Amino acid sequence: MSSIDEVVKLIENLYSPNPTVDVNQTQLTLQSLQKSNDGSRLAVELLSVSSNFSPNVKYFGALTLTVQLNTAQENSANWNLLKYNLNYLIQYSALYASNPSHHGSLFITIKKLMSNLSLIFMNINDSENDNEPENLLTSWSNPLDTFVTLLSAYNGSPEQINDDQLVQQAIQHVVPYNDLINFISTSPSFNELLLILAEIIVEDLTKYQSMRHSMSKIHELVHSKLYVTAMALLNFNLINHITNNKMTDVIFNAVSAWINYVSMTRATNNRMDLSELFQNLLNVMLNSNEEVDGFINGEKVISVLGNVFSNDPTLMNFDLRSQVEVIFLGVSRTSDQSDATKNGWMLQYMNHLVTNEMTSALKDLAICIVDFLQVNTLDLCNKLFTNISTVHISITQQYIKVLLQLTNFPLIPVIQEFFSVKMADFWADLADSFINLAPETLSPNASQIAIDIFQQAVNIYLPKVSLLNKQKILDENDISMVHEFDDFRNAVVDLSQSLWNILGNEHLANVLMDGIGNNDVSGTNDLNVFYQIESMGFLLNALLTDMSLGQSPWLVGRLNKNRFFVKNIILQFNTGVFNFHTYLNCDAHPNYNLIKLDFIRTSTNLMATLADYFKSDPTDLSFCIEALFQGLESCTSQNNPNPVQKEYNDKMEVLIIKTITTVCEKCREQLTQYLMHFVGVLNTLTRPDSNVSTFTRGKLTRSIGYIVECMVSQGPEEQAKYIVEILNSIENFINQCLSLSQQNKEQKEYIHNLLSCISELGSSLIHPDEIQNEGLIQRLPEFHNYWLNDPLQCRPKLLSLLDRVLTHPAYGKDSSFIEVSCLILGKTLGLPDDEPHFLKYSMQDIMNFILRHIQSCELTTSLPFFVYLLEKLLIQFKTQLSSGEIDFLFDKIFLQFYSQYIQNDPDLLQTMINFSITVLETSPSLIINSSHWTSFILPTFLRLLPSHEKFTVVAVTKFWSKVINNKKYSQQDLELTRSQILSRGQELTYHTMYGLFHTQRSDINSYTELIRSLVAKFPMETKNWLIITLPQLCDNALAHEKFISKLFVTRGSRAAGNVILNWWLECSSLPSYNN
Amino acid sequence: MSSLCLQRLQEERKKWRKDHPFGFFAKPTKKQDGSLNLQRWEAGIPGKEGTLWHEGVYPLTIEYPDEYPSKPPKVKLPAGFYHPNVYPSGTICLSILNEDQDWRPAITLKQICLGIQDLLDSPNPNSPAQEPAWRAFSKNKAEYEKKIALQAKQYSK
Repeated sequence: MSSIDEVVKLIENLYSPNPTVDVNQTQLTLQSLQKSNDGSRLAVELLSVSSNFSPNVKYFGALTLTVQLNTAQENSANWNLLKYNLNYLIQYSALYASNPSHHGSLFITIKKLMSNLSLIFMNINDSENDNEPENLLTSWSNPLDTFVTLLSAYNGSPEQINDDQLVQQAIQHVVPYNDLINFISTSPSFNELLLILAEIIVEDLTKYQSMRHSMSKIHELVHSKLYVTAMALLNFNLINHITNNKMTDVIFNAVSAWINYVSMTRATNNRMDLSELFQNLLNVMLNSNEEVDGFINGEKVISVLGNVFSNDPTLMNFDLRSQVEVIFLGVSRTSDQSDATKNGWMLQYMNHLVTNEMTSALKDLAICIVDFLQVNTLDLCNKLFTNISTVHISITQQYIKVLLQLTNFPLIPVIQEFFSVKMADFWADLADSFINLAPETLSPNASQIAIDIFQQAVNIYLPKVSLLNKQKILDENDISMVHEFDDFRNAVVDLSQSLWNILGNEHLANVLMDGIGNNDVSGTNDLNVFYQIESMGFLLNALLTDMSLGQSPWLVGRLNKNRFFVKNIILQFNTGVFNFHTYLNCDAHPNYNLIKLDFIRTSTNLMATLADYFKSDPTDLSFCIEALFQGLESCTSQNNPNPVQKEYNDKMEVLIIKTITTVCEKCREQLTQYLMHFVGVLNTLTRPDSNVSTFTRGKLTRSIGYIVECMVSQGPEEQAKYIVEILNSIENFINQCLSLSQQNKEQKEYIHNLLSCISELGSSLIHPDEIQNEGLIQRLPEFHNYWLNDPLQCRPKLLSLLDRVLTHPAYGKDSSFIEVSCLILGKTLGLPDDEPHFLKYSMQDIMNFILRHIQSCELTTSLPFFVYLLEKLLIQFKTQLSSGEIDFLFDKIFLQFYSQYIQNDPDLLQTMINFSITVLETSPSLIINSSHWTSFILPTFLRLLPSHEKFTVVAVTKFWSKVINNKKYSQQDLELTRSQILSRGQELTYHTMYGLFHTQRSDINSYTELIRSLVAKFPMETKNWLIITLPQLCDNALAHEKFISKLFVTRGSRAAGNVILNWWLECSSLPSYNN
Repeated sequence: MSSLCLQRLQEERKKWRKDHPFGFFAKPTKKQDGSLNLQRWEAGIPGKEGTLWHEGVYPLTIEYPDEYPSKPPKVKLPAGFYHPNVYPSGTICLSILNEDQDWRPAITLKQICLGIQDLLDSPNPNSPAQEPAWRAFSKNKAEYEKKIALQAKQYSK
């Protein structure tokens, strides 16, 4: 690239919206030029003030200086770069100041040159450069002064700034305060430029802080020099130029940058005091009003203060915070009359924001005020509730008033006001602080004050979290705000849970229960009534779920007293399910469905929570269940063609069926009288033409199963009657389906669902530990014998049904049917022997089932399910199995498929190895005495040790660890396996170390336990085996010797892991991460 | 509990209340006397929109050891949770929760929760923690997705 014109052309092309040449190639060409030895010369040419180059080209010149700064090695080059930067910065600044509106396009280049200077400033003062005496410049304390000196002296001649001596002097020159003020008063542009330079330097310092080792020296230098100039500059501007519209943003940007910088350096450096700056900011805020600036400066100061209170509130000292307290809260501790005016400003400002619907600024104000309140919640807590504080009672009351007023800001939360939202955090903090106060510090009436305050807060929040507000948000069509509102509701729930510790049932749960259940609302057609009930129910549910309703006679008594409580909750549910359209038009506004769903969610959650109560007082239980079933019917009765409506119906269905399941599980005994009715409903819903989801069918079967489980009073025959009825019904439907000539996807899903229902029924009939059913305990032998004999042939019928499904060509190859069948057959494996259950299959039944179907299934996907079942079987019947049977099973399940399927499939290999591990862990003699142990298992698993498949390695190393170290061994087992290891030790060590040596770093740990086991159980032998093995792997005698000596003195898994890793690294010649 | 642990957990609570992603919740549990147990939290992770997980809010328990933040919290989903990187006990296999891997004391509760939300729909095939879900995920996507959808209903909002 020889001509500057060509370079300029490339740059123009690079920045062009429609580049004609390949941008990537252009970029590469220009980058190589920027980094080359000619980079500085190129920058100088491009930056030439007298040229007609475009702003883009000039900016590229400044950027080239940045590249040079980052790549320059020689000190002289650095000095020249400093000079070039200063030279062009001064020239461009002077040009800009001569006619700012005309030369505005230069600004981007000026800013880049300033940023270059800040980089040079950091480089020069970096502590890492201390030991380089040949540096031409070792210290540069104040770039602002240098800028002022050079720009003041600039006479329009570029050569002037090229003079080394002059630049040296300018760098050392300290500008007195008066000269600084004179300079910025000379020209608004000089002032503007200096403010921007002050901002850029500290922004860069803040940015680079995290990237550099230590910047403490620079921070100290900034504190002693630059800070002084900057504060003079900023304070002068805040006092004199803040009403200049053009300068406002520039000043505030510089102020914010300095506050952020000072905050960042506080941890490591002497404190740079910002009190004067904050005082001036407060003055600016108080002088801002409707007439002067339309509160614009007030808004900006609030934004700055918000940032301070949120990130580093103690940056502002106590006196200043007291002033803020007066302004924000109107709480004055002095008799100063001006305090009232200051708070008056805040009220005017709020009024301005509300009147002009400036919700964003109002939100900023809310965040700022509440963050301020949270600066010292404990102090506020002391003021309100303790005798530590000396604050006068009138001040305390003023505090309470203001806090409650802020919470009760009279607009819609989230979209119009944010005070109530933020105050939820504040109240939660205050409640925590109150709870943690030492009792001896509390004022005599602290508890009463706390109850009064917090109860008022709850009363304010109840209408705030009302779905009426959600409706209003939806009316604004701002769906994103709905999430925020939901979040607000959850925050208020958290708050109410915290407040319960202070208010107790008496002042909280009690009030909410009374609010819901005092009056009969069945005659109302006012949606607001239901909104109120919903809000109270929403909070109450969270409180009640924390308690055990059934064990709290006080709460039960309270619920009994509120005789409309359950009725009103059911009404709310019915309103959501059946009558919602009479209040809100969901067809026209589909988003209203969200409110409908909230109605159903809150009421069903509450019904589920009340299940504990129904156990002691089932009067309203039947109404509740009836309503739930009607609701379920309503949302599943027809196939809704409207996809939006269908989506909401599906959600309703899930909410309702989950509630039904909870109620049935908890109130099973109270619901037995309705069992026949429920079974009828189940029969209807399990029909193929029923519109319920697979989830609902499964859950409903489980729900009914809970009730069947406790049907013990009339003996096992009665219980069996219901089980058989359910099973027959399912069998009939499956048979109907299987008899069809063609099977489609829906039928497949349906049959699978019905089989899952059987599994669910089986699960629900397992007696829960916590339920002590006296009736069952007394008749346990009777039930046990009944199900052992199974006179109604439930098990054979079911087994035959499974056989029919699995031998059907459409289903036998589908692993999901194998899975559900195995789930059913294994349902009771793991239960005690005397536990009665209709699915108690014998070992033989299960083994025959496996052997029957493993031949015809899709082995690659189905084998694991058979093996899971087999493992459970083994654990259950370990005492009844012999080694011969294990041989038989191993042969039929693994060996006959090994060469064709298993050996090439890591998953199946893992399954086979894991089965062997299970036997070793359960009853090791069964496997170590089997004929396949020495003929197949040991040699095959030895060869698998160096596998490249992580999961095979993990399983097989675990297997060998278990063979070596097994607490379940008998003396005979131990002797046998020891001799087997001793005879294969050399080979085992070789395969293990070979696998380890060739594995990838992340898998090294897989071998650790195996090596540790060998070292622990065969120390002498392993040492010898290693001495022979390691040189065969690689030639690094030193590493091998170190490895062996360290390994045998290392204790603990992690330490051994490190020794193994270090050996691996040394032998692989790879670096450690720790180096 | 060390004072460092306590201080940090209080800080975490404040931070969470001040800034947490929508739809998530996290709060310390209560002891029997009603006071807060800051070392044991309950949280809820919503499934990401547009994924099979979106219908559910998945419950977590978070247990902070005394050595926190030097050591990571133990984060568990319910036992039996169906996901390739969740152990049968419910313990989540995620590198940022592993002391020997990517745990750093600066990691916040928010980052943990978001990390778990990401993991739900983007399992890490290199860290299988349970066989059924891992196998279905790698070999039988249709079955995997069916079970995820069913599980989402189980934990629906």
